[in-house]
Amino acid sequence: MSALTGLLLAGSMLLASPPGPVNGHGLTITFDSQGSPGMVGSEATSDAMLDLGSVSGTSEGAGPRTRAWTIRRSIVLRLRSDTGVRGPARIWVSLASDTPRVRVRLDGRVLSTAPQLISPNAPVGRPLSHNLEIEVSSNAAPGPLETILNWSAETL
Amino acid sequence: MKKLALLTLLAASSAMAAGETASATLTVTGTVSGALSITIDSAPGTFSGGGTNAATSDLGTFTQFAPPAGFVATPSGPSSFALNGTIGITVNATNVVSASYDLTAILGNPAETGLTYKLGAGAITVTNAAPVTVAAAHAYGAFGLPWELDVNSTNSIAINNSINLVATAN
Repeated sequence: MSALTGLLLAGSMLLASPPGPVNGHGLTITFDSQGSPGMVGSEATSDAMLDLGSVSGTSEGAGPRTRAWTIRRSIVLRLRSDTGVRGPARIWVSLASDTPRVRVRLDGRVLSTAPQLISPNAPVGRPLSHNLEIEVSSNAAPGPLETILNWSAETL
Repeated sequence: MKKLALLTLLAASSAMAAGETASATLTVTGTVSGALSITIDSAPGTFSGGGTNAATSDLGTFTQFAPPAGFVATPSGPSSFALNGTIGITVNATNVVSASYDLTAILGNPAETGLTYKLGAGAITVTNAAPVTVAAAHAYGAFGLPWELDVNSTNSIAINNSINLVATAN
């Protein structure tokens, strides 16, 4: 009985792990600039840029006595399959590197360099909307902001 | 029984590994700019709009002997007196390097005949001609801005004016 329990745990870990670096096995992730204001160069590509422009506590509606303020944007992406697979699929997201100046959340989950399962049951072919939040400390020095989100998906 | 369970798990894992995979990268860029916010928290008279940047103070009908709430009247001559009170304001900064700010004030309309508006610890006269600095190198946060209203008239005065405050980071 104890041996069987150990195998079950190993199997669960495999299911929850994101796919490896191998890409292009019939499935692609594309970003939708129509539903994602500020998205640049995203149509039909898997590498997109979201330009926030100049942002401040005032522009993002921060309260007068806040220690941190949050940039909120909607990200719309779509999974496409060349082989006609309709899913569902799992989607993981991680940060390319740590971002000490800001805290990045997607759908309320704090992102880090470790992949986070964002969508456990995402349909293929339909637009998927996610809420991106970037929390900026009010004490942080002004200047450029950059963070890179790595997305991976695998059909079930 | 145990062998059967093991084979089932391995088969399930193989099926998962055969799924279609994809990856993508989203680069988010921008520039964080510094910003100041200023709110008015209190003022003499019947005050409304506290905690915003557009508050109202209705002084009502008053005399030297019955000043508006929050004002203290001090006679300064046979037909003149001064009202002294405080405007509570809060200036906060997000992503600003400086530790202090300057506060300027200007009236929205010419001062009413018989009235002189003064603000700040130094009782700086404020007009509608040009902004004047009423607090220099002040630390961020809440503080009480002294407000003096000098009245010098034997006639009634209708008051309808505004004080526009601007905080600028140093």
